[in-house]
Amino acid sequence: MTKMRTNLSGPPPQGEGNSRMTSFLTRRILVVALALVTLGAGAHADHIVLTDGTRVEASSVSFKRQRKTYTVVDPETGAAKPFPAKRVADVRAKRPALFTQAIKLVKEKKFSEAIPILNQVVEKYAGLRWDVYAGKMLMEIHSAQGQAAEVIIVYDSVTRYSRPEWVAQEMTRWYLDALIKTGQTAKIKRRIADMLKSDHRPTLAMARLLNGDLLASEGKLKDALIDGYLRTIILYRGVANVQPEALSKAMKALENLGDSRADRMRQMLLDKYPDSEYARKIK
Amino acid sequence: MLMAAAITLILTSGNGTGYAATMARLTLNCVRNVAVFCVAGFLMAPTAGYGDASIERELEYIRGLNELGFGDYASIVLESVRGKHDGDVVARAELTILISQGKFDEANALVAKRPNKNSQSTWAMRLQIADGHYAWSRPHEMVRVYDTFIESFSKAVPENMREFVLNASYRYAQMLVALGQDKRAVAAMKTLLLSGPPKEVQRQIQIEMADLLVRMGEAAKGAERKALFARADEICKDIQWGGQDLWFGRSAVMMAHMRVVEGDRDGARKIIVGYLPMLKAIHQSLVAFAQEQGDDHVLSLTPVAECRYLLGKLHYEDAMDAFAAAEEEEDAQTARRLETKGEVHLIGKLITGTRRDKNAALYHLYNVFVKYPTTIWSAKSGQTANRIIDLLKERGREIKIEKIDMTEVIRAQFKEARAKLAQQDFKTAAEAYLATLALFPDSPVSVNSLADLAECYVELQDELYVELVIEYLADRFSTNPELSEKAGDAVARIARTYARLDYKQRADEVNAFFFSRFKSHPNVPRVVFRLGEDQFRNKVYDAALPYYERVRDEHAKSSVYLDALQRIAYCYSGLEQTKAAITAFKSYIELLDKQPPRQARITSMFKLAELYRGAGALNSAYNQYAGISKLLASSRQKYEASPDERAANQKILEGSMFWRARMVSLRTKAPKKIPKGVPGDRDWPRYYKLVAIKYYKEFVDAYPKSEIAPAALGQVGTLYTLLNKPVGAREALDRLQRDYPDTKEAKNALFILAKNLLELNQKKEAVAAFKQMFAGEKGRYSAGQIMEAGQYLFGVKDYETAQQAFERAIDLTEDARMTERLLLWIGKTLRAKEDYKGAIAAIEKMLALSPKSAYTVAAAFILARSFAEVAKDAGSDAEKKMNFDKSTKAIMRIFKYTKPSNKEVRARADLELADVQVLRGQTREALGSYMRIWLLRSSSNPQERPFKEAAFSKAVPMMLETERWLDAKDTCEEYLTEFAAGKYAAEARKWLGQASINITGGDEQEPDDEDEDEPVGAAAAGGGQ
Repeated sequence: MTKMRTNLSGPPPQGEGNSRMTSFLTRRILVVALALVTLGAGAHADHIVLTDGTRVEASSVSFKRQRKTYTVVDPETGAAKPFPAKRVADVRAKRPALFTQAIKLVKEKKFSEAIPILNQVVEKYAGLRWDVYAGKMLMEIHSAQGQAAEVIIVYDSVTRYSRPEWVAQEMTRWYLDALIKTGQTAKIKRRIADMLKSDHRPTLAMARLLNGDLLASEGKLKDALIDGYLRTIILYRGVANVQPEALSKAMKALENLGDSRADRMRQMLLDKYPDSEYARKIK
Repeated sequence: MLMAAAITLILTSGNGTGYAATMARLTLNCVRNVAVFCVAGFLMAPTAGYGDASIERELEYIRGLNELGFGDYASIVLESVRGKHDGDVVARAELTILISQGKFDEANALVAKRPNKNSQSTWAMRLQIADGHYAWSRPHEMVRVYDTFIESFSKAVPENMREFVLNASYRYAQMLVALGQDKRAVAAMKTLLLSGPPKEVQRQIQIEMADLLVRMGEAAKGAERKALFARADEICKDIQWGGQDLWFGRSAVMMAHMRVVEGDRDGARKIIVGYLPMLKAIHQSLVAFAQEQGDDHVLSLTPVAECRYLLGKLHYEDAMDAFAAAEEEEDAQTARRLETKGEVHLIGKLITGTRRDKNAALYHLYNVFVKYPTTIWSAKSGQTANRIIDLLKERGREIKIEKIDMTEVIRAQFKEARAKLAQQDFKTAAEAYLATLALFPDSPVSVNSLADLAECYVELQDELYVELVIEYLADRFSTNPELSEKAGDAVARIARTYARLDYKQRADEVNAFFFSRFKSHPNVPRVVFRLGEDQFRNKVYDAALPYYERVRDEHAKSSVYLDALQRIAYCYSGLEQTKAAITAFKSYIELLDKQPPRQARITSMFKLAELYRGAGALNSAYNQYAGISKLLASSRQKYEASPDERAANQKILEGSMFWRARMVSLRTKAPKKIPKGVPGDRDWPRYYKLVAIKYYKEFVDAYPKSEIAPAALGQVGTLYTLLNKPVGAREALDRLQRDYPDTKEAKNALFILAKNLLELNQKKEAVAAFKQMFAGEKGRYSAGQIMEAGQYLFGVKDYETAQQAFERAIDLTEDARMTERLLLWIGKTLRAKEDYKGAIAAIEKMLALSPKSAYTVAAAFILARSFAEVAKDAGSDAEKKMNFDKSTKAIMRIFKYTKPSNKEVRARADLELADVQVLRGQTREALGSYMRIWLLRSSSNPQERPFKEAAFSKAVPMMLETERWLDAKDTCEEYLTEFAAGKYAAEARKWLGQASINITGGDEQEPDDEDEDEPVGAAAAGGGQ
């Protein structure tokens, strides 16, 4: 009887409006995809931009992985010219049909069908930025589904041939979270140590937050608070984009420690960042 | 003190030019921008910089942890600092913590230990303590330390300490200014100047000194004012001789202002016009600097803005004088001339056609507004310009110029204050808000700023000023149709700030204020609902209920109405008021029926079914379960809009099918209407069991993967057993063990069977099944399983059989820890059987076996009660005393082994102590103990609340018995406030009535001296907290 009650009588629902017709995940991916479609749909021809600012028009652009060179076909003469990757600051190539197909599947919430196609894009269009776009969608899907190992694999693939500035910050964040989840402590520690050398406050704040996540994953909740979450909250209060997450994680760590100060964190989150994703989850 | 000084500053500046307040603000701006010094305060820059950013960071972190209430974590960080840095740094960090906790004696003791009393680092620490005094509003202590400091260096300053002494002296001067001790501040600045600071610093100090003298002069009269202004004038000229810079500009403005204060407008005008070209050059330098730095904040310091504003203001005042004179004038022509003169001052002399001379109020003011938008003068100019336009309109003069939209201007003025608030620099933020609010108290932008200001005061723990702000918001805006909603939001926000900082009582008070002054605010229902949620989340249902009921009763049209009804139902359920819960759920479901379908209806129906079941209303429960099954079978999709809801409905469906079968199996009577064709003498109990079996089987066949499918098969086995159909029973149990081998049901088939029989009220059969377990061959059931059986029997109060189970389990085990647990259970069981001596023996055996047992506290509770009961029935006084003493000793043990943070156990122990005192006949002591629980335990803590309530129920009857009417009345009134829907509400009202009747007018009940006795035990041992 007791077991039944526990299973079925759970806490009451949180109130009205607790259903969503479209999953949060799908909506986000579609926003990204839409932005990319708009991007891709721009009427620019293929071209590359060199590091000195020169724009080189092309009828097609391809990338040779082994040699790390871009081959640009001149639209007028048809001649192919190679450019080493380190000279190339930006690449614009036609949107692959595969990518369009993948977006359609994501829209229809057919993630399991979309994944192999997105992986094909990552594979076939390495170095042409479409791998990064596809990789971002893949990482988001895998992150949402808790597939940390896949997140790492995709990130490693797309960063191998892409310039760092092409890789969205979110992707790096998912990657770092995946490292923590898969217990790749040495790698994440190195990364955090590098970030802590920066004098860029948002990077420092993020490093502290990640440090907290790492310590929490090792079960060191108090350390996670002292060297991670509380540090972020107190010393980086001006870095607004990390505060809701830091407050939320501090709250959870304190709850797990049975510390009633968790309520204080909850109130701060609700008061200062009421519209944040983290506040909405606890309302 | 600082706030009072700031407010005094604002209030005494009057409505003239607001010079003092504005200059104070500008001074702060200058200070920050020149970035040489900063206003002192515990929370601001360090006294002696160690130059190492990482150390400063750690200190900032330590401070921050303390402020957030994590003093324990701050100590941990301090220890890590200790490991990495030298003694001075560590000492500073320790000081930081001590000062933040107000422990000044210990801070002083720390500094007293230092070997060199006059070194820079020692002085830095002494001044850190002085700054701490200032932050803690103890200015006399601060002044005492700083005076000693100034005295020590008044004659000579060692070269290596020059910068330190200058910084500290300047900071002291600034604090004196903030405290309104201007004369002292001037003296301190004089000392500063004598010590030979660098040139740029000297000029800043000079201008600030002149500022102070001007302010003092404004407040003075006659010869005193003259003397002060003369000194200020002298300083200004000295500055001007030193070069053309920001201070030069300030000095020129100051000289003009002094003329204005003395009523010499022409003199002021002459100075401004004379200096204007030079001030414009200074302005250009500021522009270049701002561009270079990429920060236009410094442009707010331009002297040109104030000068142009002053010119405009002078013209305005001249105009007003002319208009006033015109009204007094009897001669019409002269009057007309005066009117024209006034207009010329406002809009300029007509030169040709429509062209006018630009030397007029409106021109100057617009100029300032447009060209110098970041300055305070921009806002003031805008205000005055609008006033002029209104005035001209009243006089029938149409001006082709738009009134200035002050919204953005005012918002810009608050920008700095907002920035400080975001940095949690509450002191500076409050000053900045106050200064700007004094200028713009009524604008829509100001409403939010008032809430920000209140937040600053809350953080600074200045209750008086919070009250002032809240009252102001209500008085000024609650009836303003455009701003009342905003003002109400602001007040509600202040309440939330208190709640966030854990000042629950204040939060409640501010919320009550919000409800009373902003009754029709659209957020009232949501706020009330949220307050209910705060209690509901902590499972304090009786405190949550009144909020939800208020939403139900007063806000039926609000968006949270339905949710409130649902919560009311859950509150009653949580309070185990089943009848009320059932009524509430029924009402809620009826209302839901009028809405579009939603999953909440299914969940509520299921909850209602559970309530019926718990109340023994089996037919009603059956109907609900059957109804849910039918509804989900026919139109399930309407009630699930997401995967989560689908999953929830699935679980409910499975549960409903299971329980429907169970309800049927419990039926024994024939239905009211026997279906056609059914014999009237049917064996109905048997029939129902067969129907139940059919239902269970249908369920398992439909949902074999359900978590409760094994339980259903267990029930089938049990029912077949009852029907004396061993084949069917065997088949069911075989299927259970074949298809669900790893489940508890499969592994404990006999146990499950016994349990099911108990739940079907077949106690005899159940006990037989249990005994079969105990009697079974050794090894068939482990000691743990038999112990579990015993626990189950204990739960259903079959103490005899439970005892047998535990004793059997002890025989089966050789594990010391298991034996320990079993002995504890035997002790519990014997106590429940009121075999107190037996209970004592079992527990003492347990403690002998394991003196440091993890169950010491639980054991102590049993011993405490058992010894007390034995004592009560003891023959001799000696034996009574001995056993009561043992009981008390056991309770002391509970306190010893329970952490102070474990409020529930300590509250329970307090109650136990009081109960033992009652048994002991120590009525007064017992009443003292109950009252201690009542007064010191918190009703908002869910762990302490039930004990507080229990203490109340015992204390008040004792008070009434001993005719302590006043105490009884007060206690009942408090109870009815804190436990409005509590268990003893009805009794409380009755007792209150009884006490009130017996209180005669004017006769205060004098407490007995005896009531002040120290209660026995807990207080002396430090327990009970």
